[in-house]
Amino acid sequence: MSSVVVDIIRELLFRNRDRKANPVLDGPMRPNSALDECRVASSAVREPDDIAFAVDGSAYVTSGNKLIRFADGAFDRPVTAAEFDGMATGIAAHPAGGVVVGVTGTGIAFVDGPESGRMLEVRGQGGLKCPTALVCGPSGSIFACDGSLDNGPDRWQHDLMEKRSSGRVLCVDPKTGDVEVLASGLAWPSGICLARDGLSLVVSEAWAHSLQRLPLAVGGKVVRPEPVMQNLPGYPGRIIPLGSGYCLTMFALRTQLVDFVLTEDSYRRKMIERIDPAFWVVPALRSEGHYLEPVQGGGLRKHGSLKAWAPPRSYGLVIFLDDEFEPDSSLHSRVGGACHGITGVAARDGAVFVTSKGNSKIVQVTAGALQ
Amino acid sequence: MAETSIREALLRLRYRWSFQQFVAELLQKRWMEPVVPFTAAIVVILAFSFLIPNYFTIDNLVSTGRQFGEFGFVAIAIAIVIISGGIDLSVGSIFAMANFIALMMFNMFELSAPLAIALTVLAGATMGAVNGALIGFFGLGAFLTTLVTMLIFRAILNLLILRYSLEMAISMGDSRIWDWLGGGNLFGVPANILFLIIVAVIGHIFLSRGRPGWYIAAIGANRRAARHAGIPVERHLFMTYVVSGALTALGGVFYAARLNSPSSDTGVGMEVLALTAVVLGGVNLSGGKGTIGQALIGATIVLVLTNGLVRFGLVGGATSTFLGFMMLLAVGIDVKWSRNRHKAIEKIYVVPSYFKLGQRHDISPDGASAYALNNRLRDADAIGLGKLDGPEDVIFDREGNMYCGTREGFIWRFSGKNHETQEIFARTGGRPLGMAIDRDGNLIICVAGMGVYGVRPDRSVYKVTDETNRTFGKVIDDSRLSLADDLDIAPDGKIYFSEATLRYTAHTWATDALEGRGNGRIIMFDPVTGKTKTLLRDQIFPNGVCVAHDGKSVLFALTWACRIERYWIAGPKAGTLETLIADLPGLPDNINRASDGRYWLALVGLRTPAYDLAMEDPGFRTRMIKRIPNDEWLYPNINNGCVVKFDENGKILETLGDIGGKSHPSVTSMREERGYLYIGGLSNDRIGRVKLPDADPDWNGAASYWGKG
Repeated sequence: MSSVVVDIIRELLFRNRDRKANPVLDGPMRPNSALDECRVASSAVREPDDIAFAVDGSAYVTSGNKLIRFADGAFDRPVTAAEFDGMATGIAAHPAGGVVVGVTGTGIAFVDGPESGRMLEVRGQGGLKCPTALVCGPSGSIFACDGSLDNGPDRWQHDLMEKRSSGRVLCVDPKTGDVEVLASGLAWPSGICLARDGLSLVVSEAWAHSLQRLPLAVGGKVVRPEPVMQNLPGYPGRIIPLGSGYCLTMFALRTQLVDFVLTEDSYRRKMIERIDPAFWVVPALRSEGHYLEPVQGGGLRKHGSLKAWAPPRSYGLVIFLDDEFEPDSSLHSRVGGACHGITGVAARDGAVFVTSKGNSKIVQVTAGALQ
Repeated sequence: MAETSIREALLRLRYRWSFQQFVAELLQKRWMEPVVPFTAAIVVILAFSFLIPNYFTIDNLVSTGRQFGEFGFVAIAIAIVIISGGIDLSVGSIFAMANFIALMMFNMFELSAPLAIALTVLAGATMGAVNGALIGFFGLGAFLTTLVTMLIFRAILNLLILRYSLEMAISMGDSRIWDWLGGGNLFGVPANILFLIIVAVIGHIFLSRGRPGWYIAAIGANRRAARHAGIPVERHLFMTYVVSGALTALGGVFYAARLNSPSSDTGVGMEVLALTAVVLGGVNLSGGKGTIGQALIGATIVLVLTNGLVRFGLVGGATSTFLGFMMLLAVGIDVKWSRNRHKAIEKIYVVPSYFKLGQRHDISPDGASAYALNNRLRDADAIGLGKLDGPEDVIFDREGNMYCGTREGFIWRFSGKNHETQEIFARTGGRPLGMAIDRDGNLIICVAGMGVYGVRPDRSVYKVTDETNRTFGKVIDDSRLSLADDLDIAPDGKIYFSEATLRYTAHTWATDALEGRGNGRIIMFDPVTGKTKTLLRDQIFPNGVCVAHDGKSVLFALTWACRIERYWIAGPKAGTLETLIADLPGLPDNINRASDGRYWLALVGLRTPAYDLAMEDPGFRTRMIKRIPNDEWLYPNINNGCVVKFDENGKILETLGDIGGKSHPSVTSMREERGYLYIGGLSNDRIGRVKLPDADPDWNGAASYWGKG
């Protein structure tokens, strides 16, 4: 009763207050089923996390603790290029050839380049416990997103529900493994790329639903990141420069229910304590409609079918941005679609490939804005 | 442990009865509309009685009462006009004219008092008719027209006074009736108050119960719609002004009898006072809403205020200013309130309660329990696919014809060896839910929104019952059946049925799930006496009902509570209630007999951990309902299909499922018939048929109740 009264009073006094409401998908972000119609390049890799093309054109995909290579860029012959002790997550092409791979708990591995087989142990400043995304800078230094100090990459749902914001952006010296913290206190930084101007980094901060720009070359000074996109409708993940703009993936959409549960501390605490994370009120990379999963009003089956507009537990979304970070077009896989949980993205000769971790697919995306 | 259980008990208690729910239900009542003005009137009276010494003396009360008698007529007059969507500014002038005419008839022409009064009222009606004709038939604006007639009547009055004042001053009528009207009383009640009460009662019945009253309100609410509905708008508008004039004149008569003074400033400013009174009372200025009672409450406030302020020594102008402000305030509040009342109700109507369920059973397909899910329903033969929309229940008569009710209100019949003859058997007009067949072969159906109805074999539909005894002390009238859900018939012919919830309808049932409160009841209809009686109330969504094989008890499902209860109707335990199965892994729906002496139970949904947790947290659900839209709410998971079989002791024996609900999500009913199980679903598009390998191939439900016949 009292909360109702307080709410009514608040609504009367602050009628137009900014509620940071979950925005509607509209304009260039209007839902379609384009992602489901894209060509599936490969279904051979189980839960592909990230993808990158090396200088020689080979495709590399991380999956579990393995790194898979598709030689010649044709996606028909997967070869295990390396196997690690920890989970292989973010992956980036190295300018000198081969790729660098973030390995949970260990550091950064060099594969197939001149330094192939080398494991760079990241030391100092708390190390790199939760590598989520990597990018190699022009001078050879490696920029890495450390998603969280509290949780590893596989516990991202915990990190969201615990409302952590202990993620960092690190600059790793490729020779010594020494670390410089470029930014800290981020809410699950999950994607990183060099901005088109070459003077800054673009970092996606998933739990803050935003993209941040982080200026480079300020000489050891910690600078505040500057937001370039805010209040996104989903959780932004990996991002690459593409053409004259960018290509951004979202690994899940926000729902009003999840946003609401995030404001409910007591409920969330009990949920984390008592319930298997698979059945939390939380976004997921894949939703099979398990009988123990929570169901929302719009997600009730009528005449045996689900509505595409039902609140999505999992979703597939790739967005093309221009150089000002304005969305140009987007590709969706809606509720009932089969290309959910888009985590990785890479481009070769203008052809964009994304990994659907939720549905274990590598999909070639026809880049709308580039055609 | 002890501490948590005490905490839990307190929580339960705290959410058992809700003040908020009480207020929400109260606000829905029509008679709650004048509650604000009524309270204001009481407050004003009490305030003055404290502030002014000797306020409550008999003398003062009688004198205020006499003024009230006259003013009340005017308030009623103007209220009727305002309800019709108009306004009458000429009441003050008509009042003064009536005063003059009455004195002239009585004193100068020395007519008898009744005749003088009759003529005066007629004159008032005539003046009203002028307004009415101009506004109703010529379509002039009410405001300007009555403003002009106000000035004209006043001018005529001044001329008349100038001409006749001398003659009137010297003549003097004499009549006991006249004196009694002016100063007499009956049992201490002043005469004019007596008349006012009579007029108010008649007027109230006329406005709220009579056809002209309804027409007037309809015209006031929306004139164009009223015309389109065929209401003679012109005539009724005309009549409101005539009535207004006549009532005002009656007020003038009492004024004349009391003061015997044909002064020219009689009734000056009266229209503003009356308008203020009516608006303060809560009559909507834009028309269509208001009652006589509201007008009189407003009149009380205004009169007490003016009297009180005068006694405080405020000068006339200050009093008027004060009243003006009051009117402004009243109009503002009225506009805000009438526009936002339903929103306020909406905001506080849903009141979730505390409900904690026990441990969930393991129902995983590879588990060892009898609940282990499988996909036996997935490959069911589909019957009526593409024709049926939401067959909630399915039933068979002795001949093996299949019946089911759909969302459109149809009862379908499927006959023939493979159900190939498919026809609409009857139309109910509501949402047919549970069904049963009685001894005479009639189909008895729970129709949501209507009650319990029957369909005879000749297809004629008849009402069984649509009301039960009203609960004493409950704010909302619960005598009507709002969501009759399922029923069964005992050997003695008594019909036991469940009413799932009193607070929600067939398409907002899910909100009741979030409330999780005992809003439903179990009701019994006795065909011998024709009486309907509520047996159990405050049940948490009672759903499926089934009379046990031995006919001595009734089993019913409490959906949100995930329980099966047994209510004894015969034997030593008759009238007692016991829980047969607690903490089901899903939400139970219909219960029906199986051929082997056991029971089938449909689980419409399966419990999810996130939802169970939400049920323990009423505050969480309250805020969820308020902050996010319906489609985003956490719902029970009804996307899977599940039917279980249990025996007389409540032991679960086997499970038939459809994981993921490919063919049969949200199974609400199942019926065994001649070796097959037929599956119905509230939001499905078919009836499923599954072969039961071990079932009696000749068993028929109707025959199990009433013999092979």
